[in-house]
Amino acid sequence: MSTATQFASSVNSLNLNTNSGGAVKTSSNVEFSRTLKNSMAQGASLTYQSVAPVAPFVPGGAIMSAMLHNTTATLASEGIAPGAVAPMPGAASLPGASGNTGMFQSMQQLQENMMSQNVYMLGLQQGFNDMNQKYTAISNVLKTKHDTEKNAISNFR
Amino acid sequence: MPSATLDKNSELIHGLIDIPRQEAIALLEAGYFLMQLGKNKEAKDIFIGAAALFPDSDVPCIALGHLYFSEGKSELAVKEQQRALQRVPTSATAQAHLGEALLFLKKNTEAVEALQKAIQMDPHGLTAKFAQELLRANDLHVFDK
Repeated sequence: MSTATQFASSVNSLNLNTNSGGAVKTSSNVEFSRTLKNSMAQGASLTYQSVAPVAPFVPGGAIMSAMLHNTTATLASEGIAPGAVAPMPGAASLPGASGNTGMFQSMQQLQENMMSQNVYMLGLQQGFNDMNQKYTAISNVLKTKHDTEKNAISNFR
Repeated sequence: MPSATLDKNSELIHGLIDIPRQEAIALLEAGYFLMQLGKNKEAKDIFIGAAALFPDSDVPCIALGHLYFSEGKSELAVKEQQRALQRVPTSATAQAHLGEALLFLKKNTEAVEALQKAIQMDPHGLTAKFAQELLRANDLHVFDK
């Protein structure tokens, strides 16, 4: 094959490549949309899981927890593949959702126990403070009495 | 004024007999020392002797009152402090010890009056401090039972 023939063949192949590269492609971008939804659902689910256990003890926590619950439910219903959204453990522990569960009750009981312990310890502390004051007063009386008598003897006239 | 006066030249204390001041002080300190050792009878003999030896001094009576007080005989202590006050009416120390004994007899009103009087007699001295500490302890109900 001569050089001229090789050149002509290369030009033909270039033309072919150019034609195929210039074709208009249309894409529906379905994968990107699904990925975004899944990510948002997972984020909301994780946030909800973190917030739900402490929701009863934070002012406004119940509202925020319910809102996150709704968000995850909505995202899950809009074409998200099953299993994309993580299950929500403790969802039943939402106040007003399905009543107090064991976790909520145990935390409440723990809080009550801590409060009664604090009251008891405050009482003890008060008692110790009173005792300390009395012992200090007695100590001062004895010391000043000793000093007074010593002074009386040394000034004996 | 007490008649057991100090002769500044010879450092003698004039009582029934003249005694050097340092010896009189040593005598009273010996009484306190015996009392600390628990030998109350010997201490009592010393204080009674010193009170007889220096009939116009308040210090032996105060010491004897202290001895009775330490034995829990608050009424006898009150009498001794009153005797000290008869000898030296301006004795703030006797007044404060009287207040202390009265506190233990549950005579709070009289005790507080006696202690306040002691503070007035010697407002800046050790006796006033002693009386103030007693009043403070009384406010904290230390003497209540």
